[in-house]
Amino acid sequence: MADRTFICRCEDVTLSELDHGIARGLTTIEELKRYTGFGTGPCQGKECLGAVARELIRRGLITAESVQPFTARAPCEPVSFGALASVPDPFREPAR
Amino acid sequence: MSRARPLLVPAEAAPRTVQIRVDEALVEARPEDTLATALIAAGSLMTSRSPKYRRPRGAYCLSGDCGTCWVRVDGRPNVRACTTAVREGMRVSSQNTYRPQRLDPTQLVDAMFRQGMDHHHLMVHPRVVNQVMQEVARNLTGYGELPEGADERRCEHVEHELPVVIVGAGPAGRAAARVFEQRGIAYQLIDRKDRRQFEAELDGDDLSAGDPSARVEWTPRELLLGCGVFGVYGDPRAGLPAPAPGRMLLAASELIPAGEGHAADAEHAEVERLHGFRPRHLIFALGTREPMLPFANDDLPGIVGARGLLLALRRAKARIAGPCVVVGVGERAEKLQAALDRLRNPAAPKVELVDPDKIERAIGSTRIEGLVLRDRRLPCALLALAAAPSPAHELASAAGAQVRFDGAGFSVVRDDQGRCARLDGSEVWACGDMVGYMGAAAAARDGQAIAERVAEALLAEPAALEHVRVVTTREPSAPRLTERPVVGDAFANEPLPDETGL
Repeated sequence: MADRTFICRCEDVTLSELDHGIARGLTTIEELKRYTGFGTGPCQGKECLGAVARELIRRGLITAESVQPFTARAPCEPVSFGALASVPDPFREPAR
Repeated sequence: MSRARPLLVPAEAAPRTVQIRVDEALVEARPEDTLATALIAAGSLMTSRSPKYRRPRGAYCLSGDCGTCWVRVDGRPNVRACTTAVREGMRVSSQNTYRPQRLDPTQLVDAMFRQGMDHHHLMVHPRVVNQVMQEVARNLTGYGELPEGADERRCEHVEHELPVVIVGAGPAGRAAARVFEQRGIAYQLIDRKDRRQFEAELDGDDLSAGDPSARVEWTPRELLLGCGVFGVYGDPRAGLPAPAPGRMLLAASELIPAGEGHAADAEHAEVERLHGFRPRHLIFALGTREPMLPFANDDLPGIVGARGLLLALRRAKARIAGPCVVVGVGERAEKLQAALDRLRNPAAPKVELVDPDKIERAIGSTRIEGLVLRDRRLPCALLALAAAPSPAHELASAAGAQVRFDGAGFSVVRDDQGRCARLDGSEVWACGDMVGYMGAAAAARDGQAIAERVAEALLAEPAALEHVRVVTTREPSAPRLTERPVVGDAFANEPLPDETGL
């Protein structure tokens, strides 16, 4: 097994993939997320976002004051479609 | 599995009473174990292979944040091993792996395509070859397979309208709940952890090892456990005539294990209850998460979060039985090392602390076996990462709060009162470690201070204080399949058919 340094374990994004994205001129969290796919796995960035931000700041690509995370979206905890379907449709039953 | 060394042992001699099946092996566990602690105790750390490089993966954070301990439980895929309590006869299988686990057919693909694979052109023509290739690829990779058979889980929906909801039952959330309970204000405290985990964490803060003087005996009355808040939304009924005041919606999913639901559900396997909370004031006390530290092979099974390991050990009443190393610098890392060392079996070597900058790489095959440092090598079966904790900002961000980078992660920005956002007719507050790591004692003081401000605001607004309503939908009828008319651009303004009452 080759040595690899992972920055995002959910989507198997390594530090060298991040380097590759940076070498192509990408410097923001959002751009690097689109390029490498980091933060798009099951944890949705809970584990990797801070590590990537630290890495970008360390390299002087972005300042701690200006760095922002990518948009947090629901669901951030597991929920089944069955449970979601148990909600009465507010547009069908507005007076409930 | 029987050949693997045990990595955890019970703190006190207790009969192991729960038997679970893990792949082809029988694993003995104790009722207080989670699946993750039972697997670590048995020395069976690998739960899956990673999606791209097909590397062995196991539980990391041990607290429900990361995505690498997912296993298949009784036919249901993608179940978190770290937050699932063991149950007699549980059938657990690892995902995306082949048995024996060391065998990985995708290595063949790597050997064949040394320069990488151009999947846009490979075997696309003729069509039949493409179909075969798709089928093979689907069977080689992916997150779990679909459940076997029909889902036995029953679902129901409960909607709550009340003055205060607190999310997170850590030190800050509990201190806030106490204020409302003392003042007789209706509130609900929610946390995703189960009762055993909640009680294990009452033993002082996250860095003391069950010091009896630090134990908080008080348990909130309105405590909803095993309930994960998954989203915050603006009022979906905004613009529609509704009796409820316009308020945000906080959506949470509660999983009630078989036999613990209401009597009518005795025959059901389990119940998933979807809660919709419409609070006047929402207090987030979500704490922090444990980020990863980049070093070579930082993904090996057996590499875990230090705080997650400490809390899992306390819950499972277990002791470390193998070589354990803590990675980190500073006071918090030292405290975590000392706390973990106190939870070590006397026969196991002392828990060491290592500076992350000294690490060259981790070594091992299906689990970590050692750490190569710049100057020496360390044997290691559990590597506990004690990086600076990063605030759990996601839900507050989704509610509209601003965040700023604090050196470890993104902490929530609040005003001088403690508010971090307003969503429809609801006010959102943040307290504790999620506004910047402060430690358990300071978080409890902060939670109390914020709760007192919220209580003052509520006492000035009797209408909101009195408004408490719970609506349960126990037997949801299957949703009717009807199409909403779409009439060109006028859709937004066009009245819907008369059945909507508009």
